[in-house]
Order: sequence, then structure tokens, then C-alpha cells
Amino acid sequence: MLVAPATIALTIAAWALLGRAQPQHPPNPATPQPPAAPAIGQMNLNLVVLDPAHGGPDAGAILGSNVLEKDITMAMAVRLRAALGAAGFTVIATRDANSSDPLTQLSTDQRAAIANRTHAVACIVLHATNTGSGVHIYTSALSPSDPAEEADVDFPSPFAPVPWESAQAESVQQSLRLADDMRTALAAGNLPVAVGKASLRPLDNLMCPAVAVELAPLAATGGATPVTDAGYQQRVAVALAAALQAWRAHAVPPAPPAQVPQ
Amino acid sequence: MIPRYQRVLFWVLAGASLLMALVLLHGCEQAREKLTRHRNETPLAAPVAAPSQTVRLALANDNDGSISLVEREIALPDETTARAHALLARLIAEYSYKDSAHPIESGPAVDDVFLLDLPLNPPNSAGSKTEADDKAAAALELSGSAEDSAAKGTGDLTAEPSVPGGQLAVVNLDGTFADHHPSGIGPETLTIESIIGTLYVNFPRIEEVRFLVDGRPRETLNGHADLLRTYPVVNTETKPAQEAH
Repeated sequence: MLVAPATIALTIAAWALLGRAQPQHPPNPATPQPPAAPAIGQMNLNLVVLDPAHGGPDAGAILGSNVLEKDITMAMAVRLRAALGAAGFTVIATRDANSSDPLTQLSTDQRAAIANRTHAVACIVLHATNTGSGVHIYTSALSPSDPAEEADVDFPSPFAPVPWESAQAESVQQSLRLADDMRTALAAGNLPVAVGKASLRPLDNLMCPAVAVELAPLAATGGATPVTDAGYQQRVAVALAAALQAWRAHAVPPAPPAQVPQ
Repeated sequence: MIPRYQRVLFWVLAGASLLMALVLLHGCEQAREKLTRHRNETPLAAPVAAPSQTVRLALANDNDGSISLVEREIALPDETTARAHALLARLIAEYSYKDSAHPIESGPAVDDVFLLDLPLNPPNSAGSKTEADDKAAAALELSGSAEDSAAKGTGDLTAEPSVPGGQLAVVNLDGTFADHHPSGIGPETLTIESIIGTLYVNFPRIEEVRFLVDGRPRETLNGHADLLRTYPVVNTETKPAQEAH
């Protein structure tokens, strides 16, 4: 397709003009500037944010005849919400109604803003695909932020501005540990699991320990189990709930040392 | 004795044949002149014999989520931008083969590649400072140094290159290619990493890459991989993803 060179030149010029200011501000002016990432002790240890990806006019991938990714992510979110509720978690979902009304749909930036205000112990972005097998767990591809570098910043840590595009950088290490807990729990449930890194919205904009869980068909000798299979979805939901329970136990801040009576 | 009407008919048909032959000859002459005129107006560049050379492609594998380097013998133009364009076109073409481990529909994938010297400066940077410049400078001070931002992959296009002569590559993807790309975090991420890895091993001056689709910024490749951020050009060769059963 032929593209007017002027369009591309204007785009590049716009990048050059906005490049300096871009990391300072979220893309959506309505999105509030996120505060600094909370330490584990500041998290709500019983709160999990679920983000069933896509929704409304954004159907996501087409996984078969009349099977849309947005429907699978919604079904998984419902199952995972029930499993987490049974484990004592409070769940906030960024998408409850799967209507086609665009007014009820949130952008990825708005979803990240909701999650960032909650200080949840974990944020789970749900996806589905027909590529590969089993469950794919992705963490952000951003480089972890270096605490030594942060110490050099003029502002004290609680007031330091966080670049929206790389808000997840400060939580990458925790996200990797969360992904490892999920890998262990899924493997214990005899579910094939692969772990990787990806640049994905809103994953890169989240300030909580965050992973993207992508459900793929379950390969087996008798034929693959599709992502629409309710039993398969339930097994994954139960394993993820167990992983989040283990993660909550890890995330509990250490108790202060008992004072020895003089 | 030949009847009169037959003689008249014969001469009429003979005249018509002659007339048609003249019209045909005239039409042929016009068509030839038209082709000659067009050929003169659009001179072709003299073909340059480019010798085949060994290049390395970072090929993705959906089965294990890995990127591996393979060598190919292909002829490439000398000009850097055309060379990058041809190399990426060849890379995507590899995925349209029948036995590809990362299948993508065949067709044009990369419309253009632009290489820009870093740091990118606003068009009016050479002139007097404006209020926008002051705001941008203040924002940069708030967010830390340019190198810090570049290291964190925050998409700061004004960052200084880590080596003199560093470049930003702008890859303009074809809209049809993006729309028909296999949708999913894995396949889309692998395609991006494959492009980045191929640029890394063949163009040492390229430090960052951004993507456009049909000349415009687009949020994702096909619903998942982020196309709005600036990617650092690094070695993306990976081992197969960790798998557990």
C-alpha cells in the first residue's frame, strides 16, 4: 500500500517533539498519574485484579467458528473469580459485562489505572490463543528498575514520578516470582506451561505484581482439548487460584522481630 | 457472365478490407509510438549486479517460543535503507514457506524502512528555544537522564546514542500483513523479536526500532504485541521457553 511520505514524516516529527515529555505522562489525559509502586507491605494481600482482555467491539483473536477470544477470556475470568473467592480473595474485574456497547468498554490505559489504584497483591491479564499448547505465562519484557539508580533521584522515593509506559519496571522482580509460583502450580496440576516475556498493554502499565495468562489448546494423544472446554478451563482456574494462595503467603511482609524483655 | 450485383459486392468488400488494413496499421503505429513515449519518460535505473552474501536471520519458532540465528545467501543492495528493507522482506518471506515453524500468510509485509540518526531533535532545535523546548527540558530533568530512560525502554526518542552514529529504525509494516498476522501474545511477540534480532545482527548502528502500520502509529500488531513503544535493538536469540509438565 502506498503511503504519503508526508504522513510518515509528520509522525516522526511528532515523536521528536513529544519524545521528551512522553514518559512523564500517561497517554490518556483522563488517566491519573500513578503513584510510586507500593512495597509488598502496602499491598492489599486479599485483593486480586482480573483483566479479561478484549471485549465489546474488540473481539480479539478468532479461535474457531463462532469462538472469539473475548468470550474465552470472560469465561476464564468468571471461573477464576469463583475459585479465588472460595480461597478468600476479593476480586476486582476490569470487565464484567460482555456487551458490544463501546461506551461500557475500557481502554487498556483505563484498565491499568483501575488496577493501579487498588494496590492489589496480584494483577492477572487473561488471553487465549490457538497457537501452542497448554498455558502460557508472560511477564513484562521491561528491564527491572535498579534501586541504586532510584536512590540518586532528587525526589524521595514515595514522590518520584513513575513513567506510565514502564510503570511495571518496578514490579518486574515480583512478577517473575509470581509467574514462577503459577508455573509450579500448573505443573502440579499436570498442565503444560510455558513462561516467557512480552511487551503488552496493559501489562507494562501496571504497578502491581502482574502476569498475562494465555490459554492455548491442551495437546493430547487422543486429540487436542480446545480452549472452550469447561473442564480444562476449570483445571486452569483452580491451579491459578492455588498459585495465588502460595503467592499471598510469600508476599506477607515479615513480622517485626519480637522485643526481648530487658 | 458475372452478374452486376456480384461485381459491386466484390469491390465493396475489397475496399472495406483495404480500409480495415489501413486502420489496423494506423492503430499499431499509434500504440508503438505510445509505448516508446512512455519508455522514454520513465527511464529505468541501470541494473546493478549485487553479489550474493551471507546474512543472518533471527527466525522464530512457535513450537518452543525460541529465536534462532540462521545463515542465508542472498543478494542485497548496497544502500543501507534499501538493504534493511530487503532483508526484512526476506525474513518475513521465510515464514510463508509451507514448513515454517512460525507460519505467516505470504504477501507484502514491510512497506518501508527509515533510518534516522540519534538523537532525534525537534525540527526547530537549531533555532531559538521555544516554550515547548523549555517544558520538554524540564520534563526530561524530572524523569532523570536520557540514558536512564533509554536503558529502561521508556521510548525516549531524544536519548543520546550509546555509540556515536547510533540510529533509530522506523519499520513501516503493511496493514494487510498486520491484520492477517496470527493473533496471540506468543506469535506476535516472536515476530517483533525476529525483526529486532535480524536488525541487531546485520546493522550494528541501529540501536532502537519503532513500528508504524500503513504509515501511522498503531497500538498493537494484531491485538496483543505493543507497537507504540520504542524497542531497544538487542540480541533476541533465545533458548526454547521453559516448559513444565
